[in-house]
Amino acid sequence: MKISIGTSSESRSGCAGKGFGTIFFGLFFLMGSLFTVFMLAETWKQIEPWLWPATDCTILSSGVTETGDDEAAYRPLVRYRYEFDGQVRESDRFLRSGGDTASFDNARDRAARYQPGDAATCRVDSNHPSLAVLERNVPWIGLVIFFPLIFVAIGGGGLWTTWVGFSSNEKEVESISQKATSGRGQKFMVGFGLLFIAIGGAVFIPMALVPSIRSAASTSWRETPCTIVSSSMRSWSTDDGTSYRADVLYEYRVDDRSWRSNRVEFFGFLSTGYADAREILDRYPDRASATCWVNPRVPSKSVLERQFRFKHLLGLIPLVFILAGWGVANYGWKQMRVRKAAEEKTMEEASEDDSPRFLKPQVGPVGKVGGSLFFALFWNGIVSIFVWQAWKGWEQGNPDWFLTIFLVPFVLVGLASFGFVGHFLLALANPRPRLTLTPGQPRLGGELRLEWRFAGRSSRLASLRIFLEGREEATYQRGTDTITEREVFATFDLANTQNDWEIPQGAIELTVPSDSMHSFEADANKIIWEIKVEGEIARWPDIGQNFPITIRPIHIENL
Amino acid sequence: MMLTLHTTDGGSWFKPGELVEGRASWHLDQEVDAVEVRLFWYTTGKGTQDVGIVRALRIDSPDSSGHRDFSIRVPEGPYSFSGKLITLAWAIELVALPSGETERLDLRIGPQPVEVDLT
Repeated sequence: MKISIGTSSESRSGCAGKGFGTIFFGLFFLMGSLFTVFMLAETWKQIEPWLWPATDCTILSSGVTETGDDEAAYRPLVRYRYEFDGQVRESDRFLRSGGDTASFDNARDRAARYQPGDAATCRVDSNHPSLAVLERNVPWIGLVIFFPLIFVAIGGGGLWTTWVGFSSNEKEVESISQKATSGRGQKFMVGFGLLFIAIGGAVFIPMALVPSIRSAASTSWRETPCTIVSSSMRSWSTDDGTSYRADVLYEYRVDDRSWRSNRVEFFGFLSTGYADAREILDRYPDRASATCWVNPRVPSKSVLERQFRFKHLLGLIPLVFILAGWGVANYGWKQMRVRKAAEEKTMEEASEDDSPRFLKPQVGPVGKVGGSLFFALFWNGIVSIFVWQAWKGWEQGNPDWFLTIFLVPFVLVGLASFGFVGHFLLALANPRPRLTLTPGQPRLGGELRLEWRFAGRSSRLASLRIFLEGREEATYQRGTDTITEREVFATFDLANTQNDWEIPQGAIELTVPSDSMHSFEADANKIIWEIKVEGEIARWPDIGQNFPITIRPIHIENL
Repeated sequence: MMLTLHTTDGGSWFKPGELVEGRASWHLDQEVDAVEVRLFWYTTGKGTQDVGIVRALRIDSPDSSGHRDFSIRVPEGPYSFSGKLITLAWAIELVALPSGETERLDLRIGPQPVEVDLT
């Protein structure tokens, strides 16, 4: 049997699609490739000094200088002398990249490692002996190469699909079995999720975790008087406009020695707005007296403000990436296991184990509380940041009406989520059904026996319904949404009573129809069988629990 | 290229545990890496298509003309079924690799000669 695919109109639309796909994915591929080359060049620049010969040098002077660049205003300035190829030279290049930094402390600490007269080791480019460095960067920048590579992969994959995919459609025949995947999609999901976790972690650690740890450690630091040496607004252009930072350089004395620092707070990452920076400068004008907090064991470490501020919660935003990445990776991992289990089930005969089985609910009462609480905290945590922004506007007499109205539905969802938490908390006190199924995995056409009893006060139940339900579940993509549709094809009542002597415990037997469908689970399509327990409690959250079971095919010997 | 596929008795309904026996034949007008006989199930309907290959018999570097008798035992499931959202069907394919040219023979797998009706 030959199958022909493709008509003339399809061919025309195929050409248009091909053209659009080529331009769209070609741009992705081109931009990604350009950035990749750029990143490779930068990485190589940082690797090179590791290959240069080590050369003795003598430190001539050491200090900190201003760079004139507002984004990285300070640089360790260490001048050193070295001899190479019989010629004596001098340099003040600290790192290949210069070593510029926004932190005075950082520049000072780096320079302090080299005191005038000290002997040190520098690295000299043997091809250009005038180029030397005192320290070498670990080429971490090489890790960032994954970002442009994602674009290269998307662009390259898209181009491949556009051209190879289209040409395969024009073939005379189409194989269905060729579409059997090898689980590459799931592996990609796991990899993609882990990448998201890594990115989220790489941002979260310096933005929130390290500052939080430092902030906690600073509770034992000593209150010390200090003087503001300079107080200036730093600004620099970014992709999103202009960023601002209050650069407050202050001086304090510990044990008859002066120290300087420009660390205003530990969460400096989060203060890049003009208003924040202006507020800080207003608090610390030039030559003003102030109070700073100094580490008694390391007097060079200090901070002007160590208290927690609400805006520090912004540092939790990268957690969204981590959680999303975890969700994707976890889903991919579970799907890989489902696939493996499904393959094993198909290849082997169903289990011969007919022993009873204690059924576990799909989601228990504690799980429902945990899930709803997690959602409520997560949702309201994010929304509260914007509510706070809106509130600040109202407080300052400059309300942002658009933001306020925009936030209303989000706040309502947040309030409803806490309502659900309360509902599930109350449901924790409900009597809990305990079900035992014999055999643990019934067969089509076979008998099943279900025994139930309740842990807790079953006398509170006004009615009880237990039923077996079979349903189809089909998952598909619509745009960027993943949609799952469900269709019940069989319902068998096992118990349906309002008699208080029948509710606490009981047993029922049922013959599973032989002309129905057994449990089936693939990536996107499933046949699911569940035993459902529904109980009504007056003026209290009702019981509603689902217990998934496996219905096996008819035994081969009985066919 | 001509690919042909048929079961020994011409039947298309097989109960789980039975043997699907037949012959796969090919006449190739170009060299191929291999030909493969695959017993598999696949879904159609609302959900994204799932395909599961149960057994595959591979003949590497086949002659330009030849045949191979096959005998594959049908697993316990899944049954062929049709619901409101999902239809699961079975087939045997003879596929030339890597071109993917295919001959397919539709089968029904289940305890009854008709697919399980869930509608």
